[in-house]
Amino acid sequence: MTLLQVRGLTKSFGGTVAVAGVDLDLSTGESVGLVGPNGAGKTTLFDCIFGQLRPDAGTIELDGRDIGGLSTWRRARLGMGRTYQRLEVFPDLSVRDHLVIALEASHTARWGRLWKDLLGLGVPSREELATVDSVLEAVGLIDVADTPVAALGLGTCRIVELARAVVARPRVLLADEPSSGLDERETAELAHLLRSLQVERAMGILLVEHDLAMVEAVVDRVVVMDLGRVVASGSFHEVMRAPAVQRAYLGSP
Amino acid sequence: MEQLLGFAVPGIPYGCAYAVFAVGLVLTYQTTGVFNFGYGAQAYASAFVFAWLVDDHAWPTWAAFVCAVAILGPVLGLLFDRLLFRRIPSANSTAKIVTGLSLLVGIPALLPVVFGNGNLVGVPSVVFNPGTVYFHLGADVPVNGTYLSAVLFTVAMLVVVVLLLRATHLGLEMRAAAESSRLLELEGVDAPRVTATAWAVSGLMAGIAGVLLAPTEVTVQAQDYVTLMVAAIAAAACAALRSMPVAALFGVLIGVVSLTAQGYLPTSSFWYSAVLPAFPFIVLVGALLFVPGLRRLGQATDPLSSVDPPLPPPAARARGREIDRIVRTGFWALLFAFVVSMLTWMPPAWETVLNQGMAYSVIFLSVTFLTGTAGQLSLAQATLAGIAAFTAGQLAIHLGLDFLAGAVLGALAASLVAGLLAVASLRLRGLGLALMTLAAALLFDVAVFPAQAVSGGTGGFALESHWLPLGLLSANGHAYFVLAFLVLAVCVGGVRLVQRGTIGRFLTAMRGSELGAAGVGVDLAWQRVLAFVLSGALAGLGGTLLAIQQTVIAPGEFNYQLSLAFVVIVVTTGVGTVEGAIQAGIGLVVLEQLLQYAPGRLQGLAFVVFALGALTYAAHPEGIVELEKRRWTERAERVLSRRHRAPAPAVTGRS
Repeated sequence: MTLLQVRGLTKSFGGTVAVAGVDLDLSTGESVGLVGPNGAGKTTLFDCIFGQLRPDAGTIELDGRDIGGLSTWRRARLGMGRTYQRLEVFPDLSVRDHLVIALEASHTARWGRLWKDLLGLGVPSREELATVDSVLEAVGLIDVADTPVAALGLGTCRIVELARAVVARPRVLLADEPSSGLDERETAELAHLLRSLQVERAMGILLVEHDLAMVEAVVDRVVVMDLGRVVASGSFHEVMRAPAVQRAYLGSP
Repeated sequence: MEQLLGFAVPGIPYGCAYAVFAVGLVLTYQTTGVFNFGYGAQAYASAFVFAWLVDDHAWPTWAAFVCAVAILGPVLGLLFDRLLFRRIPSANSTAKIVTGLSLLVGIPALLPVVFGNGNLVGVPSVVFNPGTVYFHLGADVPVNGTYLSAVLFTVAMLVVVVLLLRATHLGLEMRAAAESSRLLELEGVDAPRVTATAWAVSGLMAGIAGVLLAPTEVTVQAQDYVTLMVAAIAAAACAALRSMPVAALFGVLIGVVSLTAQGYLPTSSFWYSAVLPAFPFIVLVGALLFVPGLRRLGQATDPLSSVDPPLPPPAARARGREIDRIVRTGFWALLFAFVVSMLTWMPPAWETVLNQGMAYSVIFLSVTFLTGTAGQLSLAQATLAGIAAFTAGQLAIHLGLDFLAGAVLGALAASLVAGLLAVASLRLRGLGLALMTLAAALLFDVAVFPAQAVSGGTGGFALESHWLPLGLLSANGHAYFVLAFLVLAVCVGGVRLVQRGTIGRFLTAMRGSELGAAGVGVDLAWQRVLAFVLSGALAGLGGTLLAIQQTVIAPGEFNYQLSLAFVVIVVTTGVGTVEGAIQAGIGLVVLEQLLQYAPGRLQGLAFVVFALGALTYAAHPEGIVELEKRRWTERAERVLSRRHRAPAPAVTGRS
């Protein structure tokens, strides 16, 4: 069943067409890799899907619902999660707080919060803390749960971002170059973690990644972009043999 | 046509003044990446020194010009660069704004301390004689030396600066350094030298602008330069802080249109008294709302900004359990001693001072909540305090409402205005938001607060004793202390509860990363509006408390300059904690009271002290008081850990 459907998505910046009429489908529990050279339009496509950029044309549907006009936070509440190429963590907060915020934001009403806070009832519930700790346990962060993320290394922060993105059980996870800045061992561990979370939570994953070993380890299917267009699509090995992909990565002979 | 020219020509010096300042602001922004709030203070410093040398020490005009402009201008620019802005990480836009504000507040307060108050009247013109009419436009529109100086220097400066930036290699390097000085260094360019040159040129321009403008006013006053700079910001904003010719054009237009409209509008009309003085600020609001380039103003563009080191952790985290217990015990003991002292032996003069400190503390809590917790910078907190005070006063006058009930309604009114301001600024971030709040503060200063219906005129109005129960207005007794103490306690408790609750976590997340917070489902727009509304309520309560303490509500008590000073003061003590707000409130009034005993020229020293403190914001965003608390806590922790450690075995030699 198609979970996320993108049709004819186009985004330009001035005269530069970053994404040109892209179609993309993601099924429940499926993992799709989005690869391509720098400047191919992958992150712009992510930004459009997640509501951080407004596309010039095209539609985006989540579970059959048109989400094209919704803001980022509404898309997150509808079941989308995201990690970022450049870390977007909250430096003053602990690892546990990151997950608590994500969990609270997924279900709390606007007005109730102020009164609850003023009455001293703004602390996370026992159930919320149990959920958070179970995710921290699963991703191996329980030992640093109370540490401010400013004190953690890049690799750990990437896992914090991932845990924060999945704690509210999103149906779609957009992972933007999660291995950026990580060494080979950390990348392999992250790939394993992503795959296990995907299987356990049956979520669809859209993975933008330059590390092809990681792509191969995580995804079921690969979509290749170049100059804003989809140039190939299929299994990892099929796609890597496609002439269009070789041209995109290696240039024309 | 003659009439139109007659009204428009007197607007030229003002327009040129806006243009020169606007070009200077754009130049600094384009070449250093810093929107320099201190630019007006730089210009004022040169004008002050120029007038001081000529009037008080009878220096020749040319020698004073060389000293005040050619030397002092670039030197100030170089000092700003070397000591302040170079040390601020490129991504830390809040630190750049706070540093600029500190200079804007600190320099005008420092100059009289250093040079004395001086006789700064009738400053001479550098080139043309201001009183001489050189020719006529049309039949009878005289063009005097002031107009000629303004036009000549504006055109000359614009041409020189545009040529420097667009036609020279140094200009290219300056523009590159503003984008990323680290990338420029990777190209083999001495980026610090390039940036220093840009600051020196910018300082020279500020100096020229300052000295040129001095003869257009009767006396050299800092307030004129600051107000003029804010009007110039409108012109610079219309050019999206990019094009100097466009900024200059809008500067001239603002000046000429203002004076032309002044000529045509009836002096008794609302348009003349309220809208016209606010015209530059209305233009600024319009530019901020409709010029797309300003929405992300002041945000880092440096691709290497991620290599900046993280900010230091808050001071309270250094506290172990034992120290924490000692600090808490000490706090309650101190609080008990304070209350007992205020109710028993405290001399009335000091009780008044400390009461005022508590009122300020409530206002400062609004800065703590908005900036420290939510990461939003407002330069209109004194205005919000004033809105509440005037609302309560007018409700008492017209409806006979008890002033305390009016204070609650006043706080609601301040919340409403703060909320509307937040809604209007939803697309703005960082510097754009700061400018929007500053424009709002100025609009209220010139168009709302002085209105007869609001304040009864610039002198304001006195509170009447029957408006308040329990003898709150009486100097005898402790009723006011009890009220202020209770309000402060409730506000502190409320802020702490919200900080520790869901909203506090959401706001802290938003402060850390807006993208990250929105990405997990936090509604940023709602959180920002809520932060402004709560902050407005706090400022409003503080404003009414201050009005009761001072027994008078006057526009001068709530002007934009105080809003700027409030941010600087709270940042100095610690914007991240409620203790910081209380220390700022009490510290300000105690320092001002102590300075009453010092010579007259030192009266402004309190603002200098706080401005110096705020200059350390980039290095110590937790505030210097918080920093010292952390250092002392760490020392105490070390002493305690040594005491608790088991005696080491005897050491017989080094291994």
